[in-house]
Amino acid sequence: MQNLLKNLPENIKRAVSAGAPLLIVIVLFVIVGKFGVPKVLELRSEVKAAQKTEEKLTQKLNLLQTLSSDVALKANIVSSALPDSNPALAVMSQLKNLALNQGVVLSVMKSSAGTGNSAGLNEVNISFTLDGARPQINSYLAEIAKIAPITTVRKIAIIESAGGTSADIGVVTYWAEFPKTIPAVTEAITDFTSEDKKILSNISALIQPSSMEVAPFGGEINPNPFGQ
Amino acid sequence: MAIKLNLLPEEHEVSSNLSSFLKTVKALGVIGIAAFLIFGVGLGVFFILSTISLNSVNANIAKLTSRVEAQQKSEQQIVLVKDRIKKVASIQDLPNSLPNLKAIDPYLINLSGTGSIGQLTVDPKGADLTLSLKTYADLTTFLENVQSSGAFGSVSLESFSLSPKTGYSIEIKTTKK
Repeated sequence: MQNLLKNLPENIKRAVSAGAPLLIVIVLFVIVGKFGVPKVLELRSEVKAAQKTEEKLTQKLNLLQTLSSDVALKANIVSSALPDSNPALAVMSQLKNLALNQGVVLSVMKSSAGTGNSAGLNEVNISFTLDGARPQINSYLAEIAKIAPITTVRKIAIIESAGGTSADIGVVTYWAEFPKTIPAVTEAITDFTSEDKKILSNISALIQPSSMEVAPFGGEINPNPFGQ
Repeated sequence: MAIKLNLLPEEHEVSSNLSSFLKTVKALGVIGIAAFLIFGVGLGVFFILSTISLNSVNANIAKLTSRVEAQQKSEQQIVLVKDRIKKVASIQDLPNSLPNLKAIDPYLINLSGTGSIGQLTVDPKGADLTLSLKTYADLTTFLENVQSSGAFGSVSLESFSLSPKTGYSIEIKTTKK
């Protein structure tokens, strides 16, 4: 090898010694450019993605902390307005209470199997007959929109005679299964929009069904309940 | 005066053009090495800083994640509330007969004394009404009021009869606006 170099002409020897550093630098630039720069760029994009996730989580945590104070109450209200199981009994009880309050006589109440729709809503039909004065019946019908679970009037057939007013009413109430999954931890959540707040405010104003609470029996526990 | 001496053998002599070119190449090599050092050091520093930043952000993410997970119950409730709101909004778009009853009711209240309702059937599409009116003037006033109100999509007189005892009996059909 040394002989080979010695035998090379002086011009070439000088050219090699002058050009070698430049060549090495070019090769190093190429190597670093090919492997180092992409690695650093990849790291930067990882940092940016992590910063975005951090921002989302901070925002989510702040929102959760802000909303957590009254979201339990809101959840109760919306669950009562749109329950996760057939609300026919609760609605029938509400309709009876409403009849008492409005001074009309409610009879022949029937509930038929509900149907489901694409939005995940299940409908239950309830029909009944009302007897009373027409203004009271009208007032009763208007009040149906104010009860929870949410109920809408589908069919009204009012017959007036000398004996008074009788109305065959068909209403529909709804239920829908609760959501089964929650978003991933890193997925952002949004605050309630003004439209959401308006709906929430309307739902909050609905007349809640009266729940019966059985009070514990007072007095001492009978140690021998099956004895004499 | 300086005298130029060339003691090199002739075969070792390099032409002046090549010599100046090689000088330029050497200078470029030196500049290249300096640039590479600056570039390499810069890249290295950037890499280290980015790694430190990534580690710090990841540590913060881990902390935030555990805090968000601690609020999971609230998140479930928010998801529930939003789901219910969406469904309640869709219920508001479902058929409802009450608006049709509200539209026709004011005209029926005004009837008192001039006529009586026989039957009123209301559904989400509209209302069918049969009523008796004592005089022709009552009839025309009622029909004019209903037709000019603009509260209905259409108003049609389905049947009409006159009895000397009860007066005018009509059946009208209205559709939702």
